[in-house]
Amino acid sequence: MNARESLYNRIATAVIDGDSALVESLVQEALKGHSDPLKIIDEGLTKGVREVGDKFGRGESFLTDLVMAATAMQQGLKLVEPEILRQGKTVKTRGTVVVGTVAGDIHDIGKNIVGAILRTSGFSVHDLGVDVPTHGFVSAIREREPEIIGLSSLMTVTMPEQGKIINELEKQKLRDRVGVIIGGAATSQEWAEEIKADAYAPDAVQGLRKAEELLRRRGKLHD
Amino acid sequence: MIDWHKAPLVEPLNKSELYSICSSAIEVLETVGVRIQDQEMLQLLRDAGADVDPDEKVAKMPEYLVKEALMREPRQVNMAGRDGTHTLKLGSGRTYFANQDASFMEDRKTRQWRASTKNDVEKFAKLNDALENVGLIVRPAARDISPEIMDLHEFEAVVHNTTKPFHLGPYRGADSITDFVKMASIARGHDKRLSDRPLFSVAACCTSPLSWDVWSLSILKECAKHRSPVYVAGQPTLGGTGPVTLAGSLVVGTAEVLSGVVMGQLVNRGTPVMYWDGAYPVDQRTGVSATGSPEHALINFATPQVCKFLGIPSCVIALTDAFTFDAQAGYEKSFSFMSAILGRADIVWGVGGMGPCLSYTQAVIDDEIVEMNLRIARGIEVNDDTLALDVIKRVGPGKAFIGDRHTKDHHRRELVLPSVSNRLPRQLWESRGRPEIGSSALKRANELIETHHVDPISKDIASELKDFISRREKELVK
Repeated sequence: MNARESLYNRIATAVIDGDSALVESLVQEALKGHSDPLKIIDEGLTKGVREVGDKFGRGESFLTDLVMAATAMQQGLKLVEPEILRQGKTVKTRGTVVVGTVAGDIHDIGKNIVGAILRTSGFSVHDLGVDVPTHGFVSAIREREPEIIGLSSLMTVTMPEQGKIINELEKQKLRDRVGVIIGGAATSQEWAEEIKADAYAPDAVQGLRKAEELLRRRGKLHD
Repeated sequence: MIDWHKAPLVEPLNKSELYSICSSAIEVLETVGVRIQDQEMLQLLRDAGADVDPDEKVAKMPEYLVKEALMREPRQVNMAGRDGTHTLKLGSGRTYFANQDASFMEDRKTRQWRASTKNDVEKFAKLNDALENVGLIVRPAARDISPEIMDLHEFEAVVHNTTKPFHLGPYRGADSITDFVKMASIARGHDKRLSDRPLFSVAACCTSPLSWDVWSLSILKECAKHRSPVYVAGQPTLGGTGPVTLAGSLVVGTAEVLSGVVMGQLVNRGTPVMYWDGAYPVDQRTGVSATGSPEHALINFATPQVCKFLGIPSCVIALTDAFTFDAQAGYEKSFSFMSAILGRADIVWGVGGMGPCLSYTQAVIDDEIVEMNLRIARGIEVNDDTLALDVIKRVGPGKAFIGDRHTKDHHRRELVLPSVSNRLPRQLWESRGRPEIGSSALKRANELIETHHVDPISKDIASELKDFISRREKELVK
């Protein structure tokens, strides 16, 4: 193994450990040594995060490991992305997903777990945060052009916001561009059908499966 | 309900540990603060001495603010049914029992979960009016009613079917509370003598960790204006929205509830705020909040201790992670209720609950689990009469006590007679088709719903309530 390969491996291990600070310094070291930024991602960051994802699937690692690995990978990506842009390259992802918790609801964690699981499976995720107004989702769709948006609502009183967002997308002729997945404790399959969402995800792993299914249906799933 | 005299009490925290937890909670309020999505409330807090960051919407509350609020917090919260009976005195040292909120109902015929309806609200209220250990009725959601007026119809459906006090869902925030207060007055024939014993309670939930949304704050503020009983829920899930350690979770939960006490007392001194505990461990494999876990049982022991230390009525909850009335539901409910009872919570929620679902069958089973645990909590009475030396001498060796007056006089007090648990001899049990707890409990639920009598509301009051709802319906439903 040459020095570069060993550095990528150390990045992957740091991601697996969820050690954001170490990931940052190793990625900086790699960039200084003129490593190919795409290789830093493929053989370091993504490799680490996928391993955690696989282990989670086998019941050998836990949600905490998943969330920490995804965060560490994000920290690394932030440093690599400017270099990729500078070199005029693009990062290969399985798809882009925008997630957020709807207006009036400030519940964060469920959406974060969904984001982490999607990231560990190779999706690019843009998290809009909590208490996101309808226009926040609309402008994110225009700017980021995601294949999928994920709308979270934990509370019964904020559930109608999910329907409002879908209506607004129809009004602005954006509905056909994105698959809409809803989730959160208050929601259900029946509710998804009522508001004409494309899918309901009862938990984070199902969120990933539904995202894959929607992309497959649209012929857009990249492996 | 039980009066505590010399019942066993389990306190997992010693005095110095208890002090550390409460002191740390106050430190969290002082140094980390609470995010509050409401300008009016932030201004109130700033005027009272809190350090407010308007951009982050975070208020750091100094210790004296918390202590002043605790001085204004009523030590006891009283409630009563529409006719003034079925009084609850939360914080008096007695323990009461309640159901839980739900949006699903386990169907009595199919045994499947389905959306709960107004008809369920009526039937479930009636069943729990009949169940002896239930003191506060918590209804399922009337999901067949249009959302703008669901809260009003739930009030109507409950109040007709019980003379016990009840808990409601203020889906429209402050506006719901305003309407509930009016409806409660109507239901009691505008009798002002009962105003010291409110008819209904609601909950305002802090979103863990340490955040309050606009809707919950509007509920808290409106309850404070009316001095209407309000549960403040601290819900730091262990390892999710709060520290994974039990002590750390108690610190965050206590800080969250104290922030509610501070805000409630700032709006109106004497606001009856209660501590509602929702600290469940997160299962690291699925992200599910494990409500029927041993860790939550420990929280059930500890929360009443913290509350008694601070002088806030305590509410804990006995739940299960099972989805039907199976063995798992049985054992999880048993130790959850036992921990809450032996920890001497003021009120224990969960009768009939499994996840976001209420079950008629489980309600009957839970009532029995409570009954048995209350017997354990009553302990062993020791005096000349119960030592029964005279009786033992009188009966002598080799004889039986079954035919003795002492047995006849004491067995009803000393021994619990369960109403649905199997106590049949095996052959009889076989010959009756091996009845299981589920079918026995469902049969009893059906009987009680069919035969239990609830004193009806007078015609005048019923029509005034109906008029109120139809007037509000015209205003609210477009």
